[in-house]
Amino acid sequence: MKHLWPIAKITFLEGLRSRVFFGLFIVALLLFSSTYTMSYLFPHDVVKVAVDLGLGITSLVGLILTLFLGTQLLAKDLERRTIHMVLAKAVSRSEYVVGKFAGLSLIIVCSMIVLGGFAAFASWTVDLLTADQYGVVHWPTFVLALSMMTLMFMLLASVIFFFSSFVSSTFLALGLTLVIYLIGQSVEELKHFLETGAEGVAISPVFLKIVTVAYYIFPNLAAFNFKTQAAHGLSVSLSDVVWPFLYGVFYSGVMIASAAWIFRRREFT
Amino acid sequence: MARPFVLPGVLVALIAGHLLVAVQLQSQRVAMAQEREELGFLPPAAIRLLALDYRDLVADLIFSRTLSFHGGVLKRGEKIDARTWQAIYRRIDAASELDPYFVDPYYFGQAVLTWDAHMPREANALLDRGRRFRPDDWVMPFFMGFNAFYFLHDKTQGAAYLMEASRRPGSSPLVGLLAARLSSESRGTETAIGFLQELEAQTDDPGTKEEMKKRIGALRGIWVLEQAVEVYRDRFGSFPADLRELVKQGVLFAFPSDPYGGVFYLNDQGKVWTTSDLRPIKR
Repeated sequence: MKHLWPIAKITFLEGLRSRVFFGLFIVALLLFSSTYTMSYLFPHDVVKVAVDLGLGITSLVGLILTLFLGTQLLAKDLERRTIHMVLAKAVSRSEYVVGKFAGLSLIIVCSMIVLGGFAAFASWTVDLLTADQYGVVHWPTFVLALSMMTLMFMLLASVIFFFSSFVSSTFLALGLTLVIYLIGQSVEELKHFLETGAEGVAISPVFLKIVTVAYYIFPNLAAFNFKTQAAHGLSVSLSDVVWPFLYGVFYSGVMIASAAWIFRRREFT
Repeated sequence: MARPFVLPGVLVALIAGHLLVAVQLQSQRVAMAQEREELGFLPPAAIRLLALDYRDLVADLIFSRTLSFHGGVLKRGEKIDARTWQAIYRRIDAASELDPYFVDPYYFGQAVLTWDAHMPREANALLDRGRRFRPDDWVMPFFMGFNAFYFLHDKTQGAAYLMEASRRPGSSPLVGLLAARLSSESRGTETAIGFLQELEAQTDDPGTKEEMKKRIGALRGIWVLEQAVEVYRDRFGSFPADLRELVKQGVLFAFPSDPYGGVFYLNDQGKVWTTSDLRPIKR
């Protein structure tokens, strides 16, 4: 695995050079500046709204970044046939996949630090300019929410890699991952809704079974959402954090290992 | 025409056309928004599904739109009908369901659903969520207690909520006092004044404070008249035909005025009320 780090480093530098990256950061800056005007529209929970906006924008920009960079980085190598150059060296295919993922993860972590920094700055200034009765920023949960969001994007990146390992078009990998994201964000809510039942609505047991199976197959991305806790400074127990964290690690691990395995058997033309 | 000018010409024509259409579209959209009054709305369960990772933000958005819709109606001086009040209630409720810790929907609900919309039951249903999710916030059961007592005429329930409020951290000692008074006797208006004084002390918005003061003033007028009516009944054995009678017969020295610009009167049940209905009268 000695080639892992060089590949990660190249991927990281290649990602930084991407134009998507800087375009999104400018968009993010513009969005963050809206925090000031938006949060003062609210009579009481001013800082809460500022934190909502900060974390919401971070989540949106982070998502776009992960989706586009993730699909670009791997698929570009395949489409441009540069992969042959890499694999012609003594680099194993699993090394290549894991190294690429490490590089992408590094980009995600760095972008989240920058985006989170913007969000923190915006929330902090609103906090500074308003009296304490309009709320304060709860920094420990704020950082926790950002960290869990980062983990969620890394999981999503691993899903992109999984699809990219057998799908030949960038567009298809992007579309499939987007679908997984949508399902992953709402499957928990759907399962809960069907289990508790709506008044006067008959729910077919078969459908409930399907949703339950889906719940275990698709990643439960809502588990990484700590934004409400951050906005209101709600107490978070250790198990609230440990289980989603382990879930993220294992799910990504399974995805990357599968991607490496499929990739090894793939014929390049 | 020379060829090099064709494309720029077409472009200029298109831009001009676009500008024309955009202006038309804008006025059509404004007309449409006024027509439908933003009434179409998804049930909260559907919103939760569609909100994805942005549930808190969606809650903020729904609430702020409701707030600005309500503000717009007030500014135009229009009356809000029962159907629109229902729609406003559904939105506040949805926002607070998406983020049950969010304080603003509760305060807004308490402010408009009770006095303006005459929906105290809905207000208390909304506040009950706040009472459960914000266990350290004494204001939620305090509001509920006031609504139960003043609007729903349920003193027992009102006293129970007030007791709960008085046990929560940061509550004013007056809350416990009010709870005791509420469970002991029936001096309704006096208790209401006590409530409102407490509410006014809790408010820091100058506009709301002014409004509270007005309401306290009006209730004080009612309270004075109620006592005078009692004295009149003791003395003459019947209700006065007209409240002015109280001054004529020397029970009152001066007739109180309603800060809202209404006139106090005695209704069919022998209760003192005002023609302003405790709302500013438009002249």
